[in-house]
Amino acid sequence: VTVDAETGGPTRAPAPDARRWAGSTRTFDAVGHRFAVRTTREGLGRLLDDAYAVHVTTEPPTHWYSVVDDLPGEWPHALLLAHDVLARSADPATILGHLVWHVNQQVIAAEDRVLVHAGAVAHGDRAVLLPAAMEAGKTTLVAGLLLRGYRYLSDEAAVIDPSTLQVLPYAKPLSVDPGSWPVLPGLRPQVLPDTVDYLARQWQVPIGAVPGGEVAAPSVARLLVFPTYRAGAATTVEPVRRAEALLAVLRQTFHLHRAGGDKLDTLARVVEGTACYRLVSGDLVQACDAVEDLLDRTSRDVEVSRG
Amino acid sequence: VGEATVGHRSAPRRDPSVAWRVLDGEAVLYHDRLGSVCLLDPIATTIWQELDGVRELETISSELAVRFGSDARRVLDDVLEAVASLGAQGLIDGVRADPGVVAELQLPTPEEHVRATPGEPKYRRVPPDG
Repeated sequence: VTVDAETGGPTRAPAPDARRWAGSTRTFDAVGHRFAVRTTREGLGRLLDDAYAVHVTTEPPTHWYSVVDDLPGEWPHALLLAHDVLARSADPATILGHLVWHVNQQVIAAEDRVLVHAGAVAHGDRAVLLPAAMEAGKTTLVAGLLLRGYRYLSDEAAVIDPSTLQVLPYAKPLSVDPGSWPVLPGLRPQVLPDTVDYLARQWQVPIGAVPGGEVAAPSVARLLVFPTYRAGAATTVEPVRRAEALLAVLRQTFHLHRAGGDKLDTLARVVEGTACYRLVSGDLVQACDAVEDLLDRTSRDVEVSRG
Repeated sequence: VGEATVGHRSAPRRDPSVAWRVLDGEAVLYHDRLGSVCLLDPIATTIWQELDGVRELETISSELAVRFGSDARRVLDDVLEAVASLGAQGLIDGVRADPGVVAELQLPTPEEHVRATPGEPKYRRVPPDG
């Protein structure tokens, strides 16, 4: 074992296969990223198995993550991919956050899909996209809508199939920051005592743990809302021109530099089929009311145009 | 088309690295080589669509003046101004872009899209082989 001079720990962990694992997951296929996780804590294995359950596959994993908590030195917690250490920390919550982040990174690298940094939910066969930069309140708004019976597509990346324009589910666990815990108390994950410290910085909430939470079938976007959470702000909604909306979506599109022209074409077709709005709110209930109202309005407009 | 100037006898061409779509009369452009995006207002969109690299701006302006019932001289001024702006954004083949303008239009990197790690990262990356 090579000892790291700064941390006093090994730079390569003992061979994962030689360990006794307290927990492990089934294999998941998240938008082409096929992985499984094993852990030295039973409860964490269970949490992660629930967290990505919607993506379970019978195929073998191509990536094995390991989460360990017993490395020597001041930073005993680590995330490994095969034998390589991806991250080490004194704080287990950082390690879980890094695992979710790493899976996200692999998912957004998908070559055959268009991925937009957006929350996404569906009502019936209509998807609602919520594109926004980080810290805009995507996860909180998605969670609020799920609690009203909307179905889950993602809190992080809207995965669009260019051939059908459908939004496909990337049903990762909802990553709920502490600022939103008071308005979403029912989402506190119920985990074994050995896992509580992994959730001290951010809740990772499996969709199955959301009351009434279900994953949506692939759905075509009908409403595009650009949300901004602003503490104390009154709730305001204003329409956005489609070209302006497309520009904003492009700015939130992952890896646009790869086949950017094709992605522009796909996203233009998506935007052409949606009504587009900007939403600013400091209140989750009002923000959810606004999205529901906009979706109702969109449905009525469609009925009028059909009539 | 010259490096920095475009005149009424120029026949500028849209940069072939630019992909674009028009929605409700406004063009959204993505420049593959520069990694930039921009939005054109309806007037600039109309002009943009005419830049085929064959017709001179004077000709294009005359046609637009007839189409919209406007004064030809004024339309030419508008077209020259719009093409200069498009050129500064790196959208016209053979016209040097203004780096400052382009920088404002360039997209964020993928890393800026996804939170690095929640909270204060208390880890550091370790090379696989130590």
